[in-house]
Amino acid sequence: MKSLKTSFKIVVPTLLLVLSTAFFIVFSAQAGTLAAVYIFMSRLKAGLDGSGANAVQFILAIDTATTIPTAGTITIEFPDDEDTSWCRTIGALTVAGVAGSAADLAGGNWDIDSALPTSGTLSAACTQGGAGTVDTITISNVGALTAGTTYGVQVASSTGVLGTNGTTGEHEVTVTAASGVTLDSKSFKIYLLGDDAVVITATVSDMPTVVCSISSNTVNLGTLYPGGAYATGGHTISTSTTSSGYYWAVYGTGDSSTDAGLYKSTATTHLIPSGATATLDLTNATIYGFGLTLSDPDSTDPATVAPNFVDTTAGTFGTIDRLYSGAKLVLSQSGTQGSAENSTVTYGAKAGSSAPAGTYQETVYWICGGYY
Amino acid sequence: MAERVGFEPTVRKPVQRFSRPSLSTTQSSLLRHKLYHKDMLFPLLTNIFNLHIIIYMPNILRILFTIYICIYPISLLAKELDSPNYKIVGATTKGGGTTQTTDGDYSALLEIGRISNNPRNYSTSYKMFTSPEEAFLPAVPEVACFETTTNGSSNCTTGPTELTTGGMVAICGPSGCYDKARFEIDINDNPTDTLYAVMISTDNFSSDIQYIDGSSFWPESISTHNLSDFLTKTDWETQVFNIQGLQSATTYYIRIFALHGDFTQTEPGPISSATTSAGSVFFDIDIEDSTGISAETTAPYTISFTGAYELIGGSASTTAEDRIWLDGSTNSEGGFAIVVRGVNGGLKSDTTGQTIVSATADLNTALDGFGIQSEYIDYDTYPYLGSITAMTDYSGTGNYVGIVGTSATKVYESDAPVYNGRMALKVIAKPGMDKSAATDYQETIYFVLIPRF
Repeated sequence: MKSLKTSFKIVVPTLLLVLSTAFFIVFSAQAGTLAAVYIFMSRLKAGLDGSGANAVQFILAIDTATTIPTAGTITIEFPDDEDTSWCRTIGALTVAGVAGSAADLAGGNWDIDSALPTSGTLSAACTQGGAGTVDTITISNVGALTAGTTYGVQVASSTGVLGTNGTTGEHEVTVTAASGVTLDSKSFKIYLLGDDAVVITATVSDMPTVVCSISSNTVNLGTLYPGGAYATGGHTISTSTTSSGYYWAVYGTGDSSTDAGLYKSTATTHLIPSGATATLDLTNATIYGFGLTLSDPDSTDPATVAPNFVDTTAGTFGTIDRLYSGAKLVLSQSGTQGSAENSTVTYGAKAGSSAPAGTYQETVYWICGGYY
Repeated sequence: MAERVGFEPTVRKPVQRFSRPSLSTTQSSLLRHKLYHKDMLFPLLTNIFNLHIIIYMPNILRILFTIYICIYPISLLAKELDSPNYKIVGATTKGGGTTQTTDGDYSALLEIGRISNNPRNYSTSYKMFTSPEEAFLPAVPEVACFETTTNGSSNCTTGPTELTTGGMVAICGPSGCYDKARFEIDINDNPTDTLYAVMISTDNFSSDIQYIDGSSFWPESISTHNLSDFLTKTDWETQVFNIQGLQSATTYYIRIFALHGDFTQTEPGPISSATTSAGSVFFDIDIEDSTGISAETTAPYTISFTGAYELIGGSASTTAEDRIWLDGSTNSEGGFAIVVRGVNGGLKSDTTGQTIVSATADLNTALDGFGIQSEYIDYDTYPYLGSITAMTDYSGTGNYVGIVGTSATKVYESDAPVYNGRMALKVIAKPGMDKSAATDYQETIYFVLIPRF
């Protein structure tokens, strides 16, 4: 009897061992392909060591073709000849389910439906490959994965440090979702660049300015005698600018209908016109009218007085027109003008012999601007 | 005396190798499982008398003997199932086959009679008729083409024109198909209503044997294989990709068998193989002006708002002279997404501490801003491949720009594989009047291409 008991102690366990072994032989793992998967890495630069600005994290989207039971794992495996480059430091990683990502394809299998379910507390770690093994990121305590549902999970460095391999180009990774004997996997490529960044640099300058001033708003030409000599009066204009240059333009008012010039608006009205010619030589006994000249602010400076308005010939003045549409450019400069520079404006007028006595007036509008 | 061969579904000896033309594979498969279950225990019971031997053995011999008893029937059964050179002689039927309620899709001949399955009548590609009823068998089909990565040409003739003229890369993208394939059937003059089923394996049918499901076109196990997986040549080949759900970078072997009426399933035809693509993805960045459609430049990649393109506080928007050119190609079924992310969320000056903040906006009306705008998209056009589109925020005109924020946003996308994608982005900035002058305004933009396999 004792011998029989001893025999059963040996035979029964042996039978169980053989039968259980046979079970695993018959019911081998059921392997299928993942229906959809992507890895959205934060950086694609080759050779990132995972520290500081070189930190690497990723979002994994995964849709299995078969339902994976709860308490499973998801692994991401990298090529065997790239050991220790993806898992720079062995250890735990930060992991959390995400319900969407910027890489989602709306309406398709690659659109994350929900955060990765958990079975307990989700955890992740990376291990380094060696002889016959590969760098592997393992996400554990994964809940049941339903076929046709795309799940999202984000993984980042923590104790374990993620990096990228130093070789540019394609790298094959294998993602596997498994629980017990059920597993789905897919191998695919990601691409690393020599540089994944574009640096935008800019110089911002202050808005350019132009400062214009007129020394006096009124000029008294004194008394003009009909058929007599011309009279003059003036003021200065001052300009500085940070723009690419400046200009002055001018137009008059006159009688508001025919021409610019000194106008006597009371009866008997009369206009001493600026005239239709470009310039007036008021030294000529037969010529009368109203005009002006400007001095060159600096003979060595690019500022230029328009030829009709230069003050180099005494008694000769440039004529102006009325209205904005008749404005004439009188002074301009190409180039900045850091400090203010002045130009003297001289008005000249001569009354004709028929001009009635009275008060005459002209309003001259000065326009200043910058070239930008 | 004539040799008689018979078959009955419940016969204990494994006869499915010679069961044609009687059973579908499904039935054979089911029968085989039954045989395993019955026969594995039978020898144990019949040999129970050996227990007395075990009792009086040394322990080590007890273990070895126990293992032997367990393995013996399995080995014996395997030998019988796999035997390539035996014949069943003289067996008789007792009125046998019925339609099983669990399957409902097969029945068995009641009597066959007068068949001698001499193994000399077989080869891998033909079988000599050994009885009149075998004349009803369709011809063993062959694989006319089985392709995954052909490039520039194809042996397939009934697929789309793109395939026949350009190979599988023309319908799957660069490097071909990584998870699907196409086969066509050489029917060997079978009638058009002949049905065909496909076996598939990754180890040349050594141990991995599956079938192609007639609906999903994915591999399926023997246990789910049934008559629904028998389709006509036309039905198989109407599907452009009539094998799907494959693993990448894997060699697959297929063989086809035919069925034309009950009990007429043929031997599987010759084996054909193809290897799936390992997947393909390409991404590149270049910096060049608006004419740089084919420009290739190297890192570092910089774009400057300087000189004639210097930004002026309070002025109108300025578009940088250079563009960010991107190349993208992939054979991933879900296409790709290109996303951007900035370090500062705008052009930031460490000198002034000010940032020209990036936002999705029309810079014609915004007082201040910075962003990017798609200017150019091109790709090879194939009917079976995808197209590239710019996201709405980045596809504006004028000075409408999309954000380059510190969170990733998608700029471009394709919904299917893409060949030779080329894109260009303008960089546009407008500093407000409150922005102080400085020469160190800067932003670093990271570009990421995500293939979706």
